[in-house]
Amino acid sequence: MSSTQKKQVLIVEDEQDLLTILQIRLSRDNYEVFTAPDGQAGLELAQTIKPDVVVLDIMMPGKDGFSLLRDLKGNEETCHIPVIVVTARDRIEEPCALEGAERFLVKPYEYSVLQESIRELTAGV
Amino acid sequence: MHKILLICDTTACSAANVELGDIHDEASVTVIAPDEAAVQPAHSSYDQIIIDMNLSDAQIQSVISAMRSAGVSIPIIIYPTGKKCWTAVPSTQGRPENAAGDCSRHKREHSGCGAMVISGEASIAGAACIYPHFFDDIDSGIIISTREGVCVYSNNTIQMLIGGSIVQRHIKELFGDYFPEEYKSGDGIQFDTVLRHAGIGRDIPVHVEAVPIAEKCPLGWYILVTGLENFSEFFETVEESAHQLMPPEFPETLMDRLAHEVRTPAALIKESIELIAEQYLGDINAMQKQYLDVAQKNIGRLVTAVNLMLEHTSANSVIAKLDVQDCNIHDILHSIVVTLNQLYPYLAGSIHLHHSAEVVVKTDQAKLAYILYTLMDMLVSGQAGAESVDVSVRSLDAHALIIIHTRYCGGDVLHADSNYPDALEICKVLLWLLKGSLTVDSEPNRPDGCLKIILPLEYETQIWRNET
Repeated sequence: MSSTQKKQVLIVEDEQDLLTILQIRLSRDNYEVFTAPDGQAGLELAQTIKPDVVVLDIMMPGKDGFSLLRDLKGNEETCHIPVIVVTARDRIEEPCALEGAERFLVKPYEYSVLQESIRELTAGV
Repeated sequence: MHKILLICDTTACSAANVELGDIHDEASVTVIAPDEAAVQPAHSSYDQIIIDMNLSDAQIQSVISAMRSAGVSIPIIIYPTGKKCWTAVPSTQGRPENAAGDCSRHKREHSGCGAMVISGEASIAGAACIYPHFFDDIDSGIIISTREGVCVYSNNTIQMLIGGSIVQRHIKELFGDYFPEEYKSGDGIQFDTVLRHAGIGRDIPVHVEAVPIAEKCPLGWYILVTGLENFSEFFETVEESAHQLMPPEFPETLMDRLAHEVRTPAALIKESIELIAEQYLGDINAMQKQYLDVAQKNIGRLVTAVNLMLEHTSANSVIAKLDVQDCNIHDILHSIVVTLNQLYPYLAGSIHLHHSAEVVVKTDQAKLAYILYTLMDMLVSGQAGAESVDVSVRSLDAHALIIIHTRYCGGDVLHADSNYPDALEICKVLLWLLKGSLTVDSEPNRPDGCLKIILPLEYETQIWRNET
């Protein structure tokens, strides 16, 4: 991958307003941002574009974040994609880690922490 | 052919029709709306009349009054048709309270026409339809069944069919140790006892005749209660006892939900404020910046308060100190089966654990045990309404195969659609506990009524156990 090529971030989040704000901020930080409003759309997009990192909400209608995380990490083609779980739920850090999530942030998080996490996880890509 | 008249609203018709068609293999079910039933109440060509409990109180009362006025002597069953009675809630939350609510409502509304309610379980409600011969005076009484039991009030006698675990437990509390832990079908018992009405502090003497019921598998008890001066006090006593036995909602569950409801909007406000403060949407002046800072600080305070509450709740919910120790799945299942046998003596002999290979799992034992227990508890006493559970474990090359076979008094078909998803929800949790190395046979309508959970054999041991 060329060093000038933008890193790709897939945000899977059912709160449309949060999705939009995060998209604006990450785009401004020079990432190429893809968005999905639920787990199923997120899975399809992840399998298609193979993003450099996924920012994933857990509680979503239909296919939830756990399910998507499991599918991503259980698939040879997508298991290498780092996943940052961002959730408002409590006490799910351990199960997310067991499922293979690389980072876990509780909403509302500091954007700088998310920035740093994305930077670290995409550094070797 | 058994002919049933079902009175329900149009939205419940199709689901109810299917259920009742399943219950009565050879039944003919006619569905009409409550208004029509009230206007034309003489339906003597039917063997049973079933009124959907989901109708309004006024509608139910109107239909019953019209039928009684017209001299209809066909058994009337007020039955929780549709999905309301076995909505997929894979826990104890909501269901018993709803059942109790139904009880109080119907007892209150129908006391004038001789109907009484005991909180009930779907399986027993189904059993009432399948085994109406248990009720001697069914043609003159009114049956009201909910989720844990069914009773008939007629001729100044209460007949109860009891099988649900909650009723089983509180009846046992009410009647002391009269019911033996093991019984054979046909062994009846009789005794006089005194019930203490907690609300008015009065003793209620009753005479109880009880016969265990077993149709292929233990079903419950058929109980005749006579000598009651005041039926409503009797049912209030039973209901109060049931309420006391209902598990409270775990505070951490409530807080977890609250956390989500507070944190999500807090995150939205915080992100929006930051976006404005970063002047991405345009320049802001010093005064605007000052007040954005105020808003940011207070969002921070709000989130800190929520986090503190959560920490407090979490700290209070810690019961035992756990330590990492070796364990195997057989130990866990064995303890579960022993517990189940203690909790549900009427299932004695129907829960088996076969073990042919030592299976080691890598997970939190307390969690796994809890989840398996919840799964089985749900299958036995919850939504699923199963009357017995077979648990067997056997080796399968690199895996252990756990088969949880449930038997329903109404037949597997009765609950297949609504209950397997519940169980599978729990298995999903098992899946993430075992990090995806567990597979679940998710076919919802398996002909053998089995739910198969395959656990991996080759797991490193990393199990939490009580230090003591």
